[in-house]
Amino acid sequence: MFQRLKNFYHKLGSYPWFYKISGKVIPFLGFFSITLIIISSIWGLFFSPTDAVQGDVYRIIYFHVPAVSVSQMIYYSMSVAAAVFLIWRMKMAGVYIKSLAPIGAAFTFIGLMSGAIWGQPTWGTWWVWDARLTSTLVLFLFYLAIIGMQSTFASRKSADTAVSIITLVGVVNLPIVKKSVDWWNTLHQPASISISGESSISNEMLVPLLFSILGVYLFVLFTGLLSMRAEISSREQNKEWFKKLLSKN
Amino acid sequence: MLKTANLSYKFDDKYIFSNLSFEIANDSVFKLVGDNGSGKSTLLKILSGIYKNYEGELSCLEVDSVFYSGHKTGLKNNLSVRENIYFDIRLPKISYSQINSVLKKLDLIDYSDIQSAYLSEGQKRKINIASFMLSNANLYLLDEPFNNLDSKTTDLVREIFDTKVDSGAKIIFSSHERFNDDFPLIDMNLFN
Amino acid sequence: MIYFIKILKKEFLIYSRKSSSFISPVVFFLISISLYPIGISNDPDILKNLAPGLIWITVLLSTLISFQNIFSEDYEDGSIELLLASGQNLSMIVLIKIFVNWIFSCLPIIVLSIFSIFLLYLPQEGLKPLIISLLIGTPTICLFGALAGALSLGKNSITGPALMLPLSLPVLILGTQAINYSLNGINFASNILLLTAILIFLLPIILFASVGALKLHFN
Repeated sequence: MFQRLKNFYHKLGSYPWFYKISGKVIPFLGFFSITLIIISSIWGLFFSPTDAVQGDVYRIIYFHVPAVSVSQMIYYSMSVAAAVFLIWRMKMAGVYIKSLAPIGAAFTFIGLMSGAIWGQPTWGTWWVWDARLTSTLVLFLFYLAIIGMQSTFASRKSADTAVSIITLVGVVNLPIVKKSVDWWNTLHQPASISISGESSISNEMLVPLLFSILGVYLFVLFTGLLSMRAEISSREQNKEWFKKLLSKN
Repeated sequence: MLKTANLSYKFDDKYIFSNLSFEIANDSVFKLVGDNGSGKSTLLKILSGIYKNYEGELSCLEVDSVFYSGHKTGLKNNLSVRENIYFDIRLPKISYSQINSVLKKLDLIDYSDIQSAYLSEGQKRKINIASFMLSNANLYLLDEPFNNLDSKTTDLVREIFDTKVDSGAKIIFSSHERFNDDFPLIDMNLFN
Repeated sequence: MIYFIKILKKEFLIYSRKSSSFISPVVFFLISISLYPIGISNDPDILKNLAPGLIWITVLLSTLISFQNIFSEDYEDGSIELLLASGQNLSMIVLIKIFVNWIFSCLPIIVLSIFSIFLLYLPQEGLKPLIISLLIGTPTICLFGALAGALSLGKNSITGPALMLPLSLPVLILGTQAINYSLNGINFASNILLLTAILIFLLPIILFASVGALKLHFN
């Protein structure tokens, strides 16, 4: 069992293996994720019941919640990859961080925008500086810093290392920002706006939401694998295994 | 004293040099030669500890301190010549009179209070030579020390080599110059 | 030890020869502080409420600017190379550099911020918490600035702010809150203690990270 895990770990770090497996998996992922997203969007937008309190505006939840959830998950996974890169020097981890950062940034942005669109008709304001929103904005800034840092260093290994440092700094700092703004906020003004409120959500609303979340996660996997393949191609373009692969096709 | 075995250095998956093995024991001065880009500077940086991500083995025994001089001068623009030497991090505590005597030998004494930004490239190199003269290290790693030097200073440096060697130090320097001596060569072209 | 004193003297000499090292932060501070009454409102009642935050933000931005280039000159002229070759403890050297940079860029502004009594109508009671919070909070911000400076070496101008500002948010919040508490009669000692704790806790970590970041450029 342990030996199988070790084998898997070594395979995970191998570019050719990854390229082969991802090539097979990507078409399915793409098909399923886009289908799920379309189904859940149509279902959520048109066929789920109207909310008693918020009316039809709440439907943006089907875009907002998956986007925010995935934006944080991507960052946590990037921080795991950063630790793996710094400790075990696994090059695939560096590829992972570089490829997923723009995807994470995009979904954070979608989350922020959709949240603002939801907030305006519901609570009368596009934005509020509470702990959750502020820390999401900071998350967005960290994504941008990671993307921006890629081009600063001459050697790719240095760039990957610097980016890993920044990712880990962010993963520590984000909860701190959230706590400190929360503390600051609750002492100054009552926390009037909270975005979670679907614990008492009805099943008819919940099911399309779950589909949507699943669809978005699969979509991130889909685009993430595509992005990683592109990054590996650009890093390994002069290597033997890659040239052989190209000539086979 | 200094020994490498299968030393290789990679930059972004491309080897600059590989499988370099040599040993410095009895001879004292080694000349590092090779075409441009063959890895002379890189090797010196590895030996001095600037680059640590090499492959292979490197061992230094009986080396108390290392003096490294590279392409960049390490001079601070708004410090004077004297101050630059006094505060040179490669040197131990030295007195201004020691600095003055070295500057006299290098014909820099008239410039000793001028900020180093105003000096020519060759004069800046001479300040590095002054640090070299004042150092008491026992391993010297010099990257093209004769660059930009006039012939008088070049001869002076050659004399200093002999003085250092007599006090037990070892010197590895890279150069494109030719000397009459037969220094043992480390030819980077062989390892590219 | 003598070695580090030598480096301390050297850095002091370099900074003191460059008049811009302490003039620039001062000028930036004064210009920014002047912008607020002009751009926001020159009503004393409004400004005195905003004063703690405005001063802290200006100090933060000014520190950011002056720490962007903390290592860039040393990198360009090869000094960092020589430091690496010397085998000395880089953490102490980075600490010395941060300290000297703090003296020249933060300390003048902290002194100048006393004048916010007149410029931004800060009540006099706010002066003590202002100075104390700045004295303890600015070294932490300088640590973040050094990390950002080590990563970017003054070249890529997005990383410095994008990294340093989010890290500095908790310090900013604690600092402004300390002043506001004091002005409202609440004891601000807990804020100061927290700021001190953050500084002591982060000092070794960020120093270590900055040294690692510097070494990254030599691969």
